[in-house]
Amino acid sequence: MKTSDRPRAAFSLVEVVLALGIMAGCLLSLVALLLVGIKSNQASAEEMRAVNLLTVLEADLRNTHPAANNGKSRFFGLVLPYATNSSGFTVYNPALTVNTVSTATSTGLDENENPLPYTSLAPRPRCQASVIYTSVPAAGSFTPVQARLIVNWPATNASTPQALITMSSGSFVEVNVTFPAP
Amino acid sequence: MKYRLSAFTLVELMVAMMIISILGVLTMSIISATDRSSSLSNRSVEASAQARLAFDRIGIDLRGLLKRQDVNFETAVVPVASTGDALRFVSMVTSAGAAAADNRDTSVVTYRIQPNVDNASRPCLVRGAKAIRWADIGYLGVQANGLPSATFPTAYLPVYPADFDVLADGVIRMVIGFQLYPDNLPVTLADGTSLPVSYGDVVYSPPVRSDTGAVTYVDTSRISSIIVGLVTIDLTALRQADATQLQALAATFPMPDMNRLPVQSWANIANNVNLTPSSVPLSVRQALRVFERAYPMTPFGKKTSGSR
Repeated sequence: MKTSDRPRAAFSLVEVVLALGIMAGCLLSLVALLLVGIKSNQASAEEMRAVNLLTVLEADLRNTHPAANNGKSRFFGLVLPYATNSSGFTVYNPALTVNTVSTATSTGLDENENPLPYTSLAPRPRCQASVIYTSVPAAGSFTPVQARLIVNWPATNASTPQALITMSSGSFVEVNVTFPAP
Repeated sequence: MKYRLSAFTLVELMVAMMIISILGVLTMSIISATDRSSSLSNRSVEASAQARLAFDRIGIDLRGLLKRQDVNFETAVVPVASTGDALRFVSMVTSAGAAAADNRDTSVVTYRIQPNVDNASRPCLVRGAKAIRWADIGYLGVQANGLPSATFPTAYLPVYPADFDVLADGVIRMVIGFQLYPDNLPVTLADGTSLPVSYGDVVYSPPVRSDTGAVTYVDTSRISSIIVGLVTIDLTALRQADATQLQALAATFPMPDMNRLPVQSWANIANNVNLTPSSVPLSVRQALRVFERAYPMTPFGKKTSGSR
């Protein structure tokens, strides 16, 4: 009997355990793929919420009368493109500044979409809505005011429009709007 | 000796089985956790998809709106559990209901929350659309004095269920809000409220024309935007509740107050299960989501020289 000539009929224990380990590793990487799917699901739900918010933000800025809420928009409390002059006429807001992120042009929003300062720490706002005026006509001119409306999540403490986008890691939606001469 | 070497020992087998079972339990728990969270996230996407279905269609229909003072535009506050059109207007969109040669893509479009007979009478958002015959387009119920007929001519209205389609199964409540045109002038609403000035307020009864006598007509030129608020649940939760429970859920979302947006008024109800009826299964109450969207109608701009 020549046992040494017999071919090895089975895997060793070490081989089997190694194989199982590799299989588990493969499975785990598949699970990681699932997580990517969940993240993109979440991003798509957030983006839909943000796009809807953009439509409300635009309506709020466009259609709030300057006398309604001390020159701020009714729902988001942001600076309006229009103001009322001394004789009661609606004119362009003379105090508009371009490319500014401040509490006047940007607000955080809580779970119920009520305004909450974007600097608030507890609770942190869920997202942030901003109006970045990009072109303000000279006094007496009839060219329209131009602005970018940005909704980003999570809220940031950005001080420039660019930082608003980079600090929220690209989770933002934006629309360019013009406000006609009143 | 050599014979024994060709097989595993009991100890080897036990060790191997231990390792296998530990690995198995680990992977199973990871898989079940990811499965749970992925199904939760799929359900939230599903709920958004329901809202998007409704919003996109309403947007397409409103874009084609025939916005004229001599064409009917009607809205109504419809109590939960009763049926009736919440919104009804003429739009340049395609629908059936007229002979092919007579169909010129002008339709009466209506939206309502209606018990769905194909889904055990669970309430859902349905859309009715019926083409107006080419021969009737020039008429549309307009009277000799230039005003539309007092109510929509019934001959043009879509008939339930023939002219209706289920738009979104998961939409159980809808409100229509109106942002007024900020012209700083007095305004009267359809429910009789008089506001001394219009500052772009958001109201839930449309502004009406003041110069038409006893019959009032919605004044679309004084609506700066239409705001649609929706309450949705995903389709998994929809199967877990019956028609009565869904109606009880819908009824917990009241008409928003003036100058409050639907989501502002509703989000805390949707996010707090203690505020919804305990007769409804908890998993259904947790699946409630609220959405809103604004559609421009007559955005602020120069209306007359020197607006105040």
